[in-house]
Amino acid sequence: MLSGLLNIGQSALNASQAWISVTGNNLANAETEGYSRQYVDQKDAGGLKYKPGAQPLGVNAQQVMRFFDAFLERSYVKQSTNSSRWDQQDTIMASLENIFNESNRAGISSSLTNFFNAWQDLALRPDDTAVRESLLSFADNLSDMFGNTMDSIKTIQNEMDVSIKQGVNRANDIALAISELNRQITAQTVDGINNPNSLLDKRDQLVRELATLVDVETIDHGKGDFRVQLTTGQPLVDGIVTYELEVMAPRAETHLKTGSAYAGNVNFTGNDSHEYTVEIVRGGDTGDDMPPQFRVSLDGGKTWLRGEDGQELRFNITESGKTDAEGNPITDEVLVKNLRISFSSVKDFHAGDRFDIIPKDALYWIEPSRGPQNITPQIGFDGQDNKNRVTGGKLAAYYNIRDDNCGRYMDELNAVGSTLIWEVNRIHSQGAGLSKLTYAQGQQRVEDVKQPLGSAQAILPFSDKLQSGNVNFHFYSKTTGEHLDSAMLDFGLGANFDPAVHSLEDVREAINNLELEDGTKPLAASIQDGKLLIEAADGADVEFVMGADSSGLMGALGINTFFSGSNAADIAVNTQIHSNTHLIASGQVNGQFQTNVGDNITATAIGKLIDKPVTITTLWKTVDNQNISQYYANLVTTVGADRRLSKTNTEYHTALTEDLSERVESVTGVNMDEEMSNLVKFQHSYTAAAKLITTADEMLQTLLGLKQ
Amino acid sequence: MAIRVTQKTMYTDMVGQMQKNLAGYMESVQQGSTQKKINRPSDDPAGTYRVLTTRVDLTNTAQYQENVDTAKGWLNLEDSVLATRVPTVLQDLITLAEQASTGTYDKSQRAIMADQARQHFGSLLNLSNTDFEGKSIFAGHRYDQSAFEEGLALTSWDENWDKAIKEGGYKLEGASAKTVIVQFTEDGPLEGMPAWRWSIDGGDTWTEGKYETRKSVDENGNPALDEEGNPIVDEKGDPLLDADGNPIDLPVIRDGKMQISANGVILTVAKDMEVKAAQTKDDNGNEVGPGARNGTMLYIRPAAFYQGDDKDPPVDVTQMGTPTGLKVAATGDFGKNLLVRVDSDADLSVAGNEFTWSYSTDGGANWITAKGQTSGANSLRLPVPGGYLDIDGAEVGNNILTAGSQVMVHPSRADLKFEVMKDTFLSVNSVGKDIFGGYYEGKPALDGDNNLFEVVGAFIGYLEGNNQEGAQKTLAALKVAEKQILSAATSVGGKETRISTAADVLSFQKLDQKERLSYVEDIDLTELLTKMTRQQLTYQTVLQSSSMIMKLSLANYV
Repeated sequence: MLSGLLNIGQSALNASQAWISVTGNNLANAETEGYSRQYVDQKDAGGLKYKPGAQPLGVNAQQVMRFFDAFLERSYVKQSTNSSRWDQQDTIMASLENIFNESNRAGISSSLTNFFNAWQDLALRPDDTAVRESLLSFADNLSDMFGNTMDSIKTIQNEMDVSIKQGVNRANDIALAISELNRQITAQTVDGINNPNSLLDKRDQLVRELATLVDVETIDHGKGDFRVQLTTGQPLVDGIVTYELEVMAPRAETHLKTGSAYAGNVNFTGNDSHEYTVEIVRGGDTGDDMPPQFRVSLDGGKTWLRGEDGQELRFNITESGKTDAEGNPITDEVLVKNLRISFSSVKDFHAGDRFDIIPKDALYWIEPSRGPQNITPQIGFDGQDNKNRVTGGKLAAYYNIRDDNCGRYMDELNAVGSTLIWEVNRIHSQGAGLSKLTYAQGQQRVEDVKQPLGSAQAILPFSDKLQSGNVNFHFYSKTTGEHLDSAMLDFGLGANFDPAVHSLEDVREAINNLELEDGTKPLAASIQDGKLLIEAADGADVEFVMGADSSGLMGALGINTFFSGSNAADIAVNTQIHSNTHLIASGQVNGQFQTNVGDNITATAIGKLIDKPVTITTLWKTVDNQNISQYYANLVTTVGADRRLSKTNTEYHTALTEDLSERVESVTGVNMDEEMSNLVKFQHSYTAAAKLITTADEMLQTLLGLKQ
Repeated sequence: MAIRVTQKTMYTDMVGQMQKNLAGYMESVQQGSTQKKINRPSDDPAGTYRVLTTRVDLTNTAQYQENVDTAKGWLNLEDSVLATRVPTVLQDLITLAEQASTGTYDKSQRAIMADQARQHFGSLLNLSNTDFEGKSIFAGHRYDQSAFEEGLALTSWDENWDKAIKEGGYKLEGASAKTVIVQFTEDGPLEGMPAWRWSIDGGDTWTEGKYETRKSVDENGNPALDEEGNPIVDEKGDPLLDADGNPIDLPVIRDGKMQISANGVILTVAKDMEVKAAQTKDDNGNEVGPGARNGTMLYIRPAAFYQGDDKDPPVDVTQMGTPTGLKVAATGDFGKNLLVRVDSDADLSVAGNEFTWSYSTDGGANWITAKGQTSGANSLRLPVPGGYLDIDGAEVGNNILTAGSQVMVHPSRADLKFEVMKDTFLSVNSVGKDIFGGYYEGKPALDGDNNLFEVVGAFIGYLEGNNQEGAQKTLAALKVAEKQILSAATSVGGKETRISTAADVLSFQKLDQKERLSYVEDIDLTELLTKMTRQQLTYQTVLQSSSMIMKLSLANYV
């Protein structure tokens, strides 16, 4: 009975010591990141069957445990991945927004206005060389603005690529580290006795860090049987097994329908931020009367690309006559948005066959037996995340900025740039300057000079703008300046140009066949590197001026155009004009076949573009009631709204995360005052336990003293 | 459940609060320093759109104002020329004409008047060549050169010749400081080489006029050839000879025209012009002055030739890809190129055949589609902006106007138009020949007395030819010409009124746009200052309460 008392005292001393050391440890780690406060799991040691009542055995300080709420921790991980994504996205959006911010400085909008007003100035003084020079400098400035803006966006995209690589490496490192921790935890756990608390803390911390990179969830089956997986289900760590994430270069995948005998695959050149899904809609071989056709989707097959007329675009597959490295015939390249697509086999196309083209560095989850799975974050045309892909963490932010935000802004800028180029060139190509032309260098390149210019196979930037019609040429004597004759192109028996029929070579022939009244041929046209070059024929005393062009042919080929280039990145003033401002067209050949210095009709028409509604088509929308400046202002508004969205989302998710963080902290965090009061409490316990032993000792002494 | 608060939560919270308050404060400071409430697009995305577009509007308005200012420059100058300076010269000329019309002045006095008239002619020429910033305001689009240049023209005292002159049936080359009077003294067509004489001193002295001749038989004895290359022979097939059997003189004829030259001036005119002999002596055998009314009398006197640009019909029409044999003509005032395209086949031979067609006024960039109906008889009239197209398909196989046929209406243009307000264009220059007349393309640019330069030119001829009756004619003609000038001046005045209206509208517009911009973009200073005071107070509160809580610890009491 008395020895029992001593035992009780000893167990109480042990327990108090354990508590004091745990409390001290808590105090010491109060500011340690990831530390969960610990406690001693102590239990009544029970009693022996005895009279009167049970003989108590004291207290049992079994094990040291963490204050930890698995549910809260999981909620936190799930939520913090969102706030981490939006926080990162907002930071980068701030830089993107700055590119478009014209609140306190000049930008594309003001440059556009200046450019058009310079044309109005030219309309006031069409013969004035100084006005022409100034127009040129405004045009250069505008081109620079477009170029700089595009460059700045590209720089951000490149930074994203670097961050993505670092993020993916870190995620793979973390996965490895977690699997190693899993191994150690299994080894060190002794159920009911030893808990590797610091290892568990470390693992939780790693999971938290992983969640800032990519959205993950955990499944804990106890000890090291701990699985970390993407919210879409692909595991990164399963116990001690790890799976890798990998950034892969542009690639394509073939998904043939059952029963398809197609033996080739899809080839492409070019880059884009969208993923292209190519689907064969009409099968067969390239030689068939009805050639095989495909259509293209940029959102995984939800919607298919449409033309400006609202019709779904279908592209014919034709044999090119060229072969690949192994000598197999390949199909013609077709320009679809930014990609040139061709197929490596010309026969047995099967309707329903799909080819996925991922023309960018993308994120894959590697499953050793089944190959890479595309998990690149993707945002649909409706602005919603693709739930089958990565949606959280910094990686989602990087990819969304790179592909969705930057991609969208660049597409829109290109739409503005190409519309500007086209509208100005369309008018300018029919105008006359102060000097007549002795040659005209085409600025736009045609990839395949034998294909009809309006077809997707010809690959000409403005081919969709071509119409049936004709081009007028006016010829003047170089020595006297008098009007010799005017002529138009003849595509056989007086036929007009038809974009669906006539190739660049046909156009060249038609120009070469032009005749003056006296039967001499005034012009010599040639094709150099896919660009048309028109020169006065050898020995001909001829200068020429371009007249009305109902077909848009000269504008599309870049003959006598103001701009070269076809989008925001490569817009520039035509070098021929840049070297001779007299070639800036301010007037037109009039009904008496004169080009007069005081004619300002072309300058006026181009200046008028400032408030002329134009049709601008992008993947997202077709707008035909805004002028170019308004359209651009809309883009700036979009950027502002995107930034605002990222800001709001950041605030929202950060608030939720902070709240959860507080709740987790409320369970696992150390409160100094609390620990200090614990210290006092267990000091008292210790004193009391010691007192019990002294008491027992005194009782024993008393008992022993009975014998004397 | 009461939440456990830990030191960490507390510090994080406090620092977070401070950051948040400070960030808000800094934003207010930025708004204060730029005086704008939109400093980046995300501050107000919709507002940003309005800011950008309103800025464009403002710049546009400024550009319109510049256009208006330039237009004002042109029109004021034109107005001062047409409404003030030309009428002044005209008044002087009318006074001169009145004096010259009376019989009290003799030949020498008319010669002095002629000198004055020449001065006035020179003034008118200078005025018609007025330039703005080096651009001739009366030369249409060809404003880099003078609108008019001085030359020589004919005034006749013969109806037959008058008609030929009106149609431009002659050519003058060379120069003469004084009016050359040409007088025929025999009847007949020019071909018959009627005798003539010329004078440069108003008829005091005469020089016998000569024709350019050749012999009827050349040195080899062959008869001379006519224009068709046939030998010129009589009925018997012999060369033409005089009574002595010698070859006779034949006039030199080129392209049906003959040349006579007087005082270095060469006059080329049709060979079949009829002339009437003048009565050179009165019944008493005295010489009659050149003011006589009988016979053909020509005055070679100064004239102004228009060098500028015109906008006269007919309108050039170019057919592109149309069926062979199609005839198209355009009538109207088009102002710029117009493209017309037939979109579906139309059978021109029947009436009521429906078809569609389109037209474009911007060089084919945009097309406006219309429905049409054939009217039969192989002809069709399409109404287009500015006029109409007449299509004649009589010589087209099947009489079908095929789809895809295109026609370009290609008008003459001479108006320099400025956009003085959105979509309002105003022409600031003029075609001088339509105001001052003169000669253009070989004939008088305006008919009869409307042609100021011709009236004054003839006046000089009459004065130097001492033709009192001519001076009387001039007096009436000058009054007609004056009306022509005044009507041009009125039209310019009308444009000036429109310009000043435009200027008013633009300045209102600018004010309104500025106000709109300011409303969207600019900060309300009172509001900002109140806000900043509040933010300051909040920040102080956070700092104070944080410092108080941080001081508390159980350690202080244990």
